[in-house]
Amino acid sequence: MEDVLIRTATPADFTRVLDLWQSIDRHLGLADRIDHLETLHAHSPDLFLVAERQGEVVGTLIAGWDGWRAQMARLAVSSALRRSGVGRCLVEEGERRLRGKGAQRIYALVDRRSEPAQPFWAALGYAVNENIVQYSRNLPEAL
Amino acid sequence: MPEIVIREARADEVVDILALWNAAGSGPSVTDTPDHLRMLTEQMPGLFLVAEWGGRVVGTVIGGWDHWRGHIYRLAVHPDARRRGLARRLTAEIEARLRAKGAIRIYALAATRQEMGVRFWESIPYDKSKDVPYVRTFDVL
Repeated sequence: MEDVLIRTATPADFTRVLDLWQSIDRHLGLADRIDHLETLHAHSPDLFLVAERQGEVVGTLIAGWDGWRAQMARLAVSSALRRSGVGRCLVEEGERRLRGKGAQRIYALVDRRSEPAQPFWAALGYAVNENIVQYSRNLPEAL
Repeated sequence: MPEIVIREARADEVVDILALWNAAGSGPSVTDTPDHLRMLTEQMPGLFLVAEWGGRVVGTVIGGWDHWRGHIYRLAVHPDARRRGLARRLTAEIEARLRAKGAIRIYALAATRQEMGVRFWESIPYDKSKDVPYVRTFDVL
């Protein structure tokens, strides 16, 4: 971990961020688009984190804060660096920044197909909320 | 019977909102305090909505936009005001407001012990997530 830097994402990272996400097997609710990253960066630049190692983007985290709840999204670590502590560092930095905004409840919706994901979040102090079910919808262009 | 009106929540009715959530089985959580809700009415007025019926608060919904995804929380309807399409109206209103801010993908959190909640979300075009909801609560810094 000594050579990995956790920092705020900048527009120069965006294509490398999309490449990293593309390299990871996951279910996708909405196709990733660079303009969505630009929107996030324009409004919440400090809550979009990357992990950098030797000039490469090796990890990401979107620490979403909407004024009521916080959501950890797009926690990603390149396959070569799994189990090296990069994910933990991203989450801890995201938590620090979210708490600075006033967040008290932080959600992480975890892919149940990912074998290491659930122990990872449990080790970081997160617990399954049995009382919650999440539903999703992609809105049409015009409502 | 008066009409049910959907409007932005006011700071002077947060105690009524907490009572409604209690009656509707929504929450409670660490942020269910009058002070926190009053702050919410100031900080995100366009996304904290109530349904008022003859002077009573009978419904709520909170919308969240983190500039990545839209979120819907605390959709609640008082038992006295059910079966009038109110949950659907509240959802449509908050969806329109989130869409206007730029949200495309919406996540809604439903409380499993709030039976009306899950049944409602199953009845409209939302997909149930297979993901496991993990959460951690922090004290205020």
